[in-house]
Amino acid sequence: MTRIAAPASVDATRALLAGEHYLADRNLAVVLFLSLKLGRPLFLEGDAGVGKTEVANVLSRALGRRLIRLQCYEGLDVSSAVYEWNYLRQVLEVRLAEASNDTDTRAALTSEVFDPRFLIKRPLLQALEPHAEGPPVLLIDEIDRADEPFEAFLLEMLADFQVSIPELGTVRALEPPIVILTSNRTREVHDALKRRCLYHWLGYPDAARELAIVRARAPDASEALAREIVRFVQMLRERKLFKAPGIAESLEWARAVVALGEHALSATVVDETLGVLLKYEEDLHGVRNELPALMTAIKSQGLGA
Amino acid sequence: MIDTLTPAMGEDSRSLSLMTLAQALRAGGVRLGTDRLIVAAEALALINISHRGDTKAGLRATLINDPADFELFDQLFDVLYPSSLRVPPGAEWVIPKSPESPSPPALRRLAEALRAAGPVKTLTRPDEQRPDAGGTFAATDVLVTKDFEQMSSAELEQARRLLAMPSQSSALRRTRRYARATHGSRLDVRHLLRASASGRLQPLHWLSPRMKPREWVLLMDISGSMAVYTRMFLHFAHVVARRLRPLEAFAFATRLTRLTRHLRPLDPDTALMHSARAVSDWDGGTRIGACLAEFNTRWSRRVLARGAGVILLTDGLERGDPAELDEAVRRLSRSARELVWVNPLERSASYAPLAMGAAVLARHATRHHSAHNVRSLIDLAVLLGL
Repeated sequence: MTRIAAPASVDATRALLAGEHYLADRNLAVVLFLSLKLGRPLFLEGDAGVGKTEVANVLSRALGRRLIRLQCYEGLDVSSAVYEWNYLRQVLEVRLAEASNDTDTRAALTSEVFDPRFLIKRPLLQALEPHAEGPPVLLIDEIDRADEPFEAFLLEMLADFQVSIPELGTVRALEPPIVILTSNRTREVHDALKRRCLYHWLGYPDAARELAIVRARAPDASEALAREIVRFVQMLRERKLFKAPGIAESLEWARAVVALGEHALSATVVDETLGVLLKYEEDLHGVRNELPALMTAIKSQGLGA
Repeated sequence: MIDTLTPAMGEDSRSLSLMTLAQALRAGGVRLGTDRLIVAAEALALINISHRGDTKAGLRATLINDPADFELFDQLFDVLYPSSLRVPPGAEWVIPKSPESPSPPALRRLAEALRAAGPVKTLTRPDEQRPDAGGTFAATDVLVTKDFEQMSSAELEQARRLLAMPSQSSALRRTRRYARATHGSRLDVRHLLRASASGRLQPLHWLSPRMKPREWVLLMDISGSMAVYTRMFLHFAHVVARRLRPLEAFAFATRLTRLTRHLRPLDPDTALMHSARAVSDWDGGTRIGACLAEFNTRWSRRVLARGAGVILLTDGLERGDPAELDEAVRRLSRSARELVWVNPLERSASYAPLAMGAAVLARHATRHHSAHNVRSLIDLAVLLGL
């Protein structure tokens, strides 16, 4: 199998992402390029819905690598992140050995029970294994949801790309995986972990880039509708909302409006679909109250543009 | 070592030593290890350094890992590596006066970064120094119950020492992580299997959830009406922060300032000095509603995610819009597991929250507590399991 090589320049990185309809700004391309070249994990932080996870998805598609995803949560431990023994099969094996009543079998039991065939491989262990198409993309999603003990464990793994299984020995990656960590910043991730990574803050895109993203990702929405949607969303982001809509919400909204068979925003359509954009009652309430003014604003801008 | 790794950035006078940038960043308070510098040097070798934007993005990704430091980095980079270079090498650095001038705190940090340490402002203001009338020695038991407002500065100093609280069993929260235990809700199958391979009979091994101290977020009102209590609160915050790692502290009067980082030094005086320098609106007016609203949008998701409780220290004398306060407090009490309103005015049984702001707080807070003397602060700490 021929491998797709990592991009050789910043421009090539940007083009690679664009090929998968991910329109990155130049800074993200620089950071991603460096991360691939230096073999350092990339730590992406930013508000929900700005396309952090998508970077990993797109990268795995563009490079033809396997995507291995680890969703973090509090209490995530070795047995769900790295490996676990298949206890049921182990117990069965013990029972069989006991039934055979053969002393040789019993002696061999200790080593037999911890045989790799009883090992259940979880994402981090899978990421260390060799893959024919090249090292996989390992996405460690929402690391801020995990707790400090797991972070400390990751530190060790990301430094050497190896894990030790007491019963079997050390597993080391021949080629380190491409690692992308994301965080919504619901908690400050420890410096020690960030230090091992390249850090990038992913912000909201400007109007022009967001329009291009909506056009690329929601092609069913007409140019005019996409413009109105982007303008509306950009206006919302300037307001003091509890949770401002991300790009993911803009795209969902565009698709929702198209699904209703509408070709332009009207006060009624916006009112009916506002729940796609805003997820907090006080935000919805505030925006609904000022809907006429907001509608006038996007329509009048439309004439100017 | 680093300098030999560092390629010259650009030609002739347009050269920027990575070390210079690193030193300036460190002086500005960015914690930067040699390991990061090595990565930065590697990054510089890979990108086209005549492309200014790429260089900036690459250095930023390798040197900075906190968005709070972005502004400082950007400004330092612009100063040290100007786009149109007219500055002769070795010339003194100037703070650029661009039309969109940077916000005061960042500018202050930049100035500090460029000329090491600035003038030190301490917490003690002349107007706060009360005349030490009468009483030369106050017994500690008197001090414990004396109102902060009636204390002389010497007494305040003593009260501060008294605040070194006895450590108490903490209010715990259950984590999602399990540990071996003699009794528990889950069998430790892994341990059991390993033990049973020996062939002997084994006692059952159990797992039970691990417990952890609950996180608290401290929001302190430092406006003019609270001036007497502010210093003591800061000490309280420092003691609590030292006892218990997961404490986030914020101060507000007209704007919100995060103090968590500044309360970290072990020495209370250093911590207080850092906090004092971080806050720019000492004794200002009070905009509780606006500040809490800012906390809700900017911080609540970040610091209240793991079932943390909020301790709100304020007298509730709001000068802003009561409707805004009502909405902000309502939101806050819904995001926090618990909202404890600590009110220094609540010193007597006859106190009733009649002022508009106080009434709003009383309505939404899950608990009230007084905070006018050492005793009440210690009680509060015990109550919260700090």
